[in-house]
Amino acid sequence: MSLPAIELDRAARVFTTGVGRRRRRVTAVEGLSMRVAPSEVMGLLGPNGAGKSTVIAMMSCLVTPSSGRVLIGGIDTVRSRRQIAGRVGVVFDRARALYPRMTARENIEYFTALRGGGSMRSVARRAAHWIELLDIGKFAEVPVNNLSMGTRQKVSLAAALAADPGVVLMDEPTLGLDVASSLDLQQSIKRMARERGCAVVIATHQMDVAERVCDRVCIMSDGRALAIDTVNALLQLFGRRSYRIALRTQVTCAVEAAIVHSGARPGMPMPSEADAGGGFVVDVDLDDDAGLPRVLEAIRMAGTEVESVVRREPCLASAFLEITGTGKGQRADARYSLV
Amino acid sequence: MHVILWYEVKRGLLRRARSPMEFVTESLAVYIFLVVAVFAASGRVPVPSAMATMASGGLQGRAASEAMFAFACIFCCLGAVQGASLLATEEPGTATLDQLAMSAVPLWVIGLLRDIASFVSFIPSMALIMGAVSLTTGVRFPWPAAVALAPMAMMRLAMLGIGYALGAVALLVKRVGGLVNLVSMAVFALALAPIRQLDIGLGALGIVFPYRWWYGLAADLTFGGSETAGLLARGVAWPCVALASIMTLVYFFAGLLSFNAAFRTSLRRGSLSRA
Repeated sequence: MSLPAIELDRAARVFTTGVGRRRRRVTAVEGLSMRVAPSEVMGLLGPNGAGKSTVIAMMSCLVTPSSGRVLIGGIDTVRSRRQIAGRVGVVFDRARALYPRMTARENIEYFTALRGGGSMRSVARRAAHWIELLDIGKFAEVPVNNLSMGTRQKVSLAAALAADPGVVLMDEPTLGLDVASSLDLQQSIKRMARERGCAVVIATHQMDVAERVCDRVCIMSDGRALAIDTVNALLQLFGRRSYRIALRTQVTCAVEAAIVHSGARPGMPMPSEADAGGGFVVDVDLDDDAGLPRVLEAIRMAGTEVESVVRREPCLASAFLEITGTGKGQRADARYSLV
Repeated sequence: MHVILWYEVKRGLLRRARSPMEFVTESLAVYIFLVVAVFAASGRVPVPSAMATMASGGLQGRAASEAMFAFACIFCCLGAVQGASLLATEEPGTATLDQLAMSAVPLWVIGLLRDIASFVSFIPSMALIMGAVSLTTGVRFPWPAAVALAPMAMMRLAMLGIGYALGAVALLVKRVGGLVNLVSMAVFALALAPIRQLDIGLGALGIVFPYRWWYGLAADLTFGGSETAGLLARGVAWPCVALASIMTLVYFFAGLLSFNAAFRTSLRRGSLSRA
């Protein structure tokens, strides 16, 4: 078996905040173990404060783990920090890691030189290559603070990649981007992982991004990994039998009570469907398909006619809500550990 | 390393070129300050009474050209004092420090390269300002004797050590603007105040601050000419120079060690680029 590009072995990180009596310890990451193979794109998903950014910071040697180990290409990030520096490229949210008054090309060249990009000619050649590959040639001579967020993020990506790192870490890379820029960046990330053989770790809130880009995801909550698996495996496990039922009349309390009484759970609207239906639709989750006739019968008995029933495709967002237990109407045993 | 130095020099020059207003206003401020100082030193403008009491060694007691030389040394050293703390707190709200910390080059080396780069961009701008001051005041800038360049280099090295120490504080507590200003003012005071006549305070600071020794030697070599050079050649001043060299190296390496220790501490704390 080849050496993993990234390995976390029971890595934990505890921060101390406050002074004097207000001093307290906050566990940001707790005993996290995972491996990321070369060419693999791993997503770190979790609500705010789940510890995603701390994991990225530990992988990029910017925060030392309180216990456990973080290895990049088999090298310990604490013991041999200098050896790792240059092997890891990082893209921060909102392209924060660029000098705003320098042009795109100057930024890429500068950070490539710092990461050991070779001679001046080599640095310039690498920068030119990535500028062309990410299609930012017409912005290359524009100061970064005059660029759109999407282009800046591409410049960040080029700056992270030009020194040919084996590992690329991204903290909310699509944050603040419009749909077209986000999709464009996602394609670039996938292509880069596939063609360059980089291991990529993406910390994000955006489930659709994770679903499209990541080979595997690690769902985190309160510093712990609740599930690490492929997106498909998680969808199969947690993709609930979920239905959207459209009624001919407004949903009443009686209808809602009848649905609960029939054994179904009120469903969570998909992010794209929130507030759709104007009070004439009801979302339900069932443990098995056999429960559907019971629900329809209960609605009919409550005096309402059903217009249509649509089975909804499971999505990572609903799996995420179920795993982390952060959605409304989740099952009592909603927090899982698949690690 | 020379590749990074080149990019640092380029970065420094580009920053100035891209912010011409900032460059012009900074240069104008220094120009106005120097014109007043040179006029004061040559007795052509009234000075506050406190300054007049220092006539035997203060600004008014100096030759105007010596005042120019003193200020050139001060501005040369201020870059070294402020460099590392600027590096540690650069571009607030960005993660550029994180990127620098992840590079293949240690952060202190980047600090050193930036200091060299800032010195490179300092020379032409200072020459321009001094030329303008000479034209305005009629006082010729005393170009330092070649032999005075060595003490000036040592002066900057010692101040770089202090700069690293300030950078260490900046890495740990971030907001160190006041402290940096304080040290910068001490450099001003030590160049201009007659510390030999002051038993306490600045006098004591003059002994522990390596700046003063090297400044004194550079000024003596520039203005004393062959007499001071002769003293050095005969070995009379060597014990003092040796002591100053040792102290300079102590300052430099102590600053460097504290900077690296602070860097490791900030990684342990996870507070590297937190504001």
